[in-house]
Amino acid sequence: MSRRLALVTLYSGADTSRVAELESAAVLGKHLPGTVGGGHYTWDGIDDPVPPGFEDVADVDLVELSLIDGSLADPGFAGEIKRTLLLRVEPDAPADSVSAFERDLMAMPDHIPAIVNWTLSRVIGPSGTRWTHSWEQEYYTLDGLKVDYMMSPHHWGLIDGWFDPEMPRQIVDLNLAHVYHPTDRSVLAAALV
Amino acid sequence: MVGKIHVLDELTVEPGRLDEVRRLMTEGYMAGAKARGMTLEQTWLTPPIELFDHPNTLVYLWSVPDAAAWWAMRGAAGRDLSVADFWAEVDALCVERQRRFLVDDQIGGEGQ
Repeated sequence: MSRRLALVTLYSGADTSRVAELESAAVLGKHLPGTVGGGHYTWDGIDDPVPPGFEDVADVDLVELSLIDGSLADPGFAGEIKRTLLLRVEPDAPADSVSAFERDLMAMPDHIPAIVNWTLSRVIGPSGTRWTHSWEQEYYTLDGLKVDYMMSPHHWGLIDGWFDPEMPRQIVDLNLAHVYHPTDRSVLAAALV
Repeated sequence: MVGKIHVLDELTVEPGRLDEVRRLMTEGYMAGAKARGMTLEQTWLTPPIELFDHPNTLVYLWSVPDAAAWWAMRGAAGRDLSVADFWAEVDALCVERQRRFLVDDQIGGEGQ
């Protein structure tokens, strides 16, 4: 079973009334300041990625995800932050490095209790997508992401070595989509039941 | 709360290439590292004399004040594509290279 997720980027100068229609027509998470590389909205769990007229105001970077693993610590999660990291592992990365990287990511919730619900998925489509993995988490507070997660020694002292261009073991491309937005429900619950 | 973070680079250099690596580090890295907030604390050579038939290891110990400064360093290196190119040039002269991060150990629970 797979699910889909899209990063939505408004075109420069997009008609504001059309943007308002877009925002009311779909369950879009509006990205907060500090988001990097992923446009203006996250669209989770979509069935029809592009409603009529959508393409006039926005570009849609759609991915299809196959779950590797995850945890639903709080099925009744009612907010407030959903974070998505879309990344690309370099195609020449050794298979054992990729496996170790995935294991390291999935160990993060053991060291960072602020991570409530989480999934790690492989990107399985569409063909031609630049992304290989999606690492998603839900937090009770923005500080859970910006302080507990980002400032954890487990993060900067261990995990980031897979991403760091100064580290010999880097296997992740520098161009990432690190996006987060407010939410009043668990997006990941649907992926994990 | 983590305070000062040390960054330990260990460059195990092909025999006969020590001076090239030293020059690369001095001319191609140190100014940029300083601009990214890194302070060079110490350099070492081990074994303590150049061997021309076996590798030597050059050790560079840097520091940044805290985790926020670590991310500032990391972000700046990520935005500067010449940093990865620099390490590729160094790696071509090395048998092995490691970078490790160190914090004060809280011996007896009385660390910083």
